[in-house]
Amino acid sequence: MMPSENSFVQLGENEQVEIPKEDVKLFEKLSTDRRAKLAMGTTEDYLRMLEKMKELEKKGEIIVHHVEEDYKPQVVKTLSNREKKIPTEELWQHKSCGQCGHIPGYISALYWIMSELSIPFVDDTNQTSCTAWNYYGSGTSNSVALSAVFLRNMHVAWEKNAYPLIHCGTSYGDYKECRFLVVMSEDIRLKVRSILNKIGRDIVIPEELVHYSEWLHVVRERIAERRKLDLSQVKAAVHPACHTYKLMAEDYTYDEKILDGARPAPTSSIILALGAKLVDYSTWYDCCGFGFRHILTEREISRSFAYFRKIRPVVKETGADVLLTHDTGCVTTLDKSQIVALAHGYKETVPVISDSQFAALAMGAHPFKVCQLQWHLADWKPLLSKIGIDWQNAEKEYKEYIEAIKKGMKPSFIRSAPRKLQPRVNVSFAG
Amino acid sequence: MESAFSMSISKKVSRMLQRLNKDGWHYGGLPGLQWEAENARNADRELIQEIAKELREDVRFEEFYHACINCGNCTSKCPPFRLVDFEPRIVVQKVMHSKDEPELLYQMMDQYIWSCFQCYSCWEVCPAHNNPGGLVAILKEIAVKHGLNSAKKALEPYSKIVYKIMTTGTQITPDMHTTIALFKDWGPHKAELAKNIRAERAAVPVETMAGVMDKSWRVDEETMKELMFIEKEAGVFDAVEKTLKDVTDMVRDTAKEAGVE
Repeated sequence: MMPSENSFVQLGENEQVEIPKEDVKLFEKLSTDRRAKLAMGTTEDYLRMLEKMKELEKKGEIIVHHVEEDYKPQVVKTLSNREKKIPTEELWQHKSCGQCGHIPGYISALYWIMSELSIPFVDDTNQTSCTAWNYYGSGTSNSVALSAVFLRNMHVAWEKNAYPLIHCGTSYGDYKECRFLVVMSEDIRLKVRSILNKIGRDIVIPEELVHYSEWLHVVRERIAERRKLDLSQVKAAVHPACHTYKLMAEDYTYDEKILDGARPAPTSSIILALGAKLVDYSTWYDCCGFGFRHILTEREISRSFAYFRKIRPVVKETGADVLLTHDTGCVTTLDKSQIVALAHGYKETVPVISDSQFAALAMGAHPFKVCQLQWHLADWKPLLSKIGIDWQNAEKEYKEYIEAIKKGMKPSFIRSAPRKLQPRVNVSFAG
Repeated sequence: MESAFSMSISKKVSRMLQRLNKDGWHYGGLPGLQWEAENARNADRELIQEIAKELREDVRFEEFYHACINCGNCTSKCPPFRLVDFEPRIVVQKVMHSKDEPELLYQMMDQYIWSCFQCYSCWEVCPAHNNPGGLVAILKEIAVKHGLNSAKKALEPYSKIVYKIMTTGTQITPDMHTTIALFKDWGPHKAELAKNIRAERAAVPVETMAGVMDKSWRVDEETMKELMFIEKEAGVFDAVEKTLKDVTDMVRDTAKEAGVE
């Protein structure tokens, strides 16, 4: 019998295990299965909550906003192998306060992709953020307030007859936590209902909470069909956002065909679908260093963590051309934290953008008018050159465009395709 | 006659003995937190009891805390642990033993918990499915509610964010980027962006965002009113008052102007 070829699996910063090459995938799969099993209590609780939600709906205590056929759902698997329906059309955009405030290309790229794919959506001004910054960051909210804010937004989406698509990883995580509390705690439910009733609303809970990266995951082939640039030479690394897959871990998308189901599928899947090279690094599990309060008032901690635990390993281990992520705080921290390190003489740097911006660029979106790369700090010019975008010319066009805006010209807004569903009217509640 | 030296030793020993629990475990021996022990000893006993009671009565407590086997998986994945004196394992251990010794909680709330990044890496890897990050979130809420000094110190530098979220439901708005002052470490590129921020913002091709400087997107008046009503009814205004008095006054004024009674 021929001795099998061995491979090394990185376990920690300086720790490797040597195992036969054919066992590498199995080893990583087993590690994940073990992780899922270890967290079984949490997973079981979560599945029980979904059952309880059905019971409450049957009793008429709550309305469940189902992922109906009108939303053209696609089915994915979650960590526990549960089937989760991801709506693809008629989406109510639950915008992210951090993204919209200072990395607007995140959203404009997402809307542009939807517009290119003729997908109807609602971009509402009757929306607040989840306000969970004041929960995770500062402790200046509470379960009842957060749950009521969550349900207020979900009620608006239901009234508009559009399915909520949550842009921010933290809102997604917070809403999963709030949904759990509202369903599993009668006390919270009663308190929240009483508040909502006073503003003419009631408890409407989405059947599935859906993050936009899950939407990108299920429409990736349609996006790939419209790819205009060759990405085959691009090496892309992924930073999966903690609040998407660690907070209420059961609910996020995993796919046997993507990284053998050993890690979250979204974002990695769009890289693969677009034909770029997905590269891996040892600290993939680490958070970005954001820390909510820390990114604002204790920046040295955020900055050091982001640079030394994420940016340097990514560049040194993979030579990535770009680092993609799917959350507000992660893009901000990983992008902005490079400047001081570079000023201190460190050399490693990599552009950080969202998966939606990466996909839009591949589809031919304008790097500045649509993808708004001018808001990003780490140098994106080498990436654009590598994928064949004449950024000098694009920058010239954009400067002329900005001058015209200064003189009063309106930008050409990205519009939704015409909606097929009508808003719900004269709604009455059984609750 | 006893010397001053031996008196000081005997005081130390008696203090250490006081810190032994019934199982003979000396908590001061755990890494971290010793420097906060003095504050806990001097704190109001009633407040200490009240904090422990509030934690255990919180609806999330049963979900977030089960039992700790001290394995340290959580700490091994904790980002702040790599840089500062903070361990999720310590958080869960202190919570576990706070039933008998509630001052352990107070000790932690005096600054220690504010190092947590709330990334929940600890939760995902805990074999007993404890949620140390979640416990910290509850403790932060309690610290704010009681106006602990640690909460005041931690939150003062970003009271503007707290105000923005409470009144508009959005934060980190473009008007915070009009000068380089707040974000000096974002470098010269940021300074350039700050100079053109109004034109840049006006050029964003999303109608709800274009030109909006004081919020993340255009939020309806009625929406903000509903938000402030929710916060008022849920007791958020009252809870924040002891820690951020000025901010709460401003929020109350804004709510009143919006018609929230």
